[in-house]
Amino acid sequence: MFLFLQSPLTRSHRTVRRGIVRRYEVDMVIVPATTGQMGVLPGHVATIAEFKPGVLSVHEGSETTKYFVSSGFVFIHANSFADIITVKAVPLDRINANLVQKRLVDFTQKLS
Amino acid sequence: MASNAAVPFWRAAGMAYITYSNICANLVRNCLKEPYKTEALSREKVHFSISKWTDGKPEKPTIRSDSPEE
Repeated sequence: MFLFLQSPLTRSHRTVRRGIVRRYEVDMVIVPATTGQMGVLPGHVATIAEFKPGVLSVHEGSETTKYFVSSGFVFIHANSFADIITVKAVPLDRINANLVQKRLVDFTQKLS
Repeated sequence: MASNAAVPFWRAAGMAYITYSNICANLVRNCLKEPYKTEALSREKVHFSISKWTDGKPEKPTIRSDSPEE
C-alpha cells in the first residue's frame, strides 16, 4: 500500500523541514485512532479516522519504524493510499522520557 | 433537529480542533531530546504585526511575537 505522509510542521529523522511530504510504499501501518489502535493494510476499506496522541508504527517487510504523533487524521482511500496528517510525528528515540514523566506529574497535580 | 451527537471533548472545552492540535504539538515539542527540542521550538516562533480595519482603513498595528508556550 502507499502511505502518503504529510506533516505540516515537522517531519522525521531524515530531514527536518516544514511541509515535507513523503511517500512510502509500505506493508502495514498501525495508527492510534480515537477508537483504539487500528491496523491498516492494503485493501483497507476507505475510512477517515481521527488520532488520539499515540504511537504510529510503519511496517515495511521486517522493519518497523515507530513515531509518536501528537494528533491528526488518517484518510484511507479505496486504492490503498493512506494519508497521515499530523502536526508532529516524532521518531520515538527523540523523546526524552524523563521530561515526559516530569510533565505528566506536573499536569496531574494541576488537575487535582 | 436536536444538536449533534456527543460533542468532542475539545469542543466542549471551548476550543477548535486546530487549537487542540497545536496544544498537543506543543506538549510533544517540549518533551523532545535536546538538539531536536531547541530546533523545534525555535522553528515555531512567530513574529507578526496585526491591525484591525474599520471603514476601509487600517488602525494602528500591534506587533506580536509569540513563542510556543504551554
